[in-house]
Amino acid sequence: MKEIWCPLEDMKKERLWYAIVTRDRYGKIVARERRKSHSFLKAWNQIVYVQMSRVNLAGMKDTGGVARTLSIHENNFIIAVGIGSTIIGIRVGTGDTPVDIADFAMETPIEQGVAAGQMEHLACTVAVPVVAAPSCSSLVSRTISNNSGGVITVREAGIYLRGATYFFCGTRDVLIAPQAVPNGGGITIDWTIGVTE
Amino acid sequence: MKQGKKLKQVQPVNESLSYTVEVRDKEGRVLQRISAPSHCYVAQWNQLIRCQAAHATTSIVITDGFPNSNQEDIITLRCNAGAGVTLYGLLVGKGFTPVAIDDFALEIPLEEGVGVDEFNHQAVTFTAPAVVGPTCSFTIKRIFVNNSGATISDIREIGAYVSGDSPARSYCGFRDVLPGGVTVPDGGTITVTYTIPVTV
Repeated sequence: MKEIWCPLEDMKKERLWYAIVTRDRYGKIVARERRKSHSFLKAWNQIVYVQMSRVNLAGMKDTGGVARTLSIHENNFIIAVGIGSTIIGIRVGTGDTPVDIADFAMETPIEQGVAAGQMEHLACTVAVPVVAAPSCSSLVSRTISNNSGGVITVREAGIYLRGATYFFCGTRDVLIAPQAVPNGGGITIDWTIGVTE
Repeated sequence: MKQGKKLKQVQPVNESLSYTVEVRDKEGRVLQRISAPSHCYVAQWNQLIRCQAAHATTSIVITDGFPNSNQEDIITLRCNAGAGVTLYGLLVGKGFTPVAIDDFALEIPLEEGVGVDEFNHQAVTFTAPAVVGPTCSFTIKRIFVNNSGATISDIREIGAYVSGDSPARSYCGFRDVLPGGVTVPDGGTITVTYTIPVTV
């Protein structure tokens, strides 16, 4: 099993970290990776700004690269989404270009489906935050299954979220070790968003 | 800038929430400046983000100490308080108990007014997010004017109250205890500026 696994106690000091577990068709773990996420992106902070200041912000690139004007909205920050949807929630992809603060999408996102290079996305959930001094953290989780008939190698992961009626990329990370997901297997991503006193 | 031992400067940081506190006398001369990393998002901040991210009701403690079943809302994280408003926005206080993750308010917030230990709160202002290198950040600023007729001393805490699902109640988003007491002379001001960044 390939393993890049930072101690949990170290991770608890970080504001954002992720754990990825790859399983084969029998549920056996074939690789896992846990480390600090470097990568809240520009769009995340822009949405925080819009909500705090109540000032509209023009020029925000959505996940299609189209400049949008964002305003305060009850939909801002939505991440949770149901089965099969890829407009928001955790996404994975095959791109490996290093993260840039201005990234507005995954480099090569994997689409929903069972055709070559596609994966099936289960629901993306956002758990109730847990307060355990000195931190308060919330877990964003999603399992993505490979029923494409071939191996798919995942090299990037991120979170798409809603801003009003648009969709933005809030975080993106390039994995240290590419995750080869066998046919019939799956990859589970747990993203922890934390604050620490 | 007035010279002397009151001027204190700590290295600013770029990669996490940070703050600057500046005190001026009534002539506008800087008497003291503190720049430091903020350690101190508190639990309510993350709980509000979760409430929005999940679009699900989340129990969050409001600034009076009672839990509220908060729903997603258009005013979540609102912090742009106008002049005189202390329900939300940046605040200062006299408490100095170290920050805990479950702090739900400033310990001893100073109120609006011209009475003893009261400030006139100016409107909260923002700079738009700007990208510099690997960082995207914006700032939140508020000026507090001391028109109380006397010096206000021992200011030890700063923080931000933000809205949730109701314009009538607020949550504490972050709180910091200053490294030492700050004194604002009559007619003087204290300016608090928070920088909120994300860095890849």
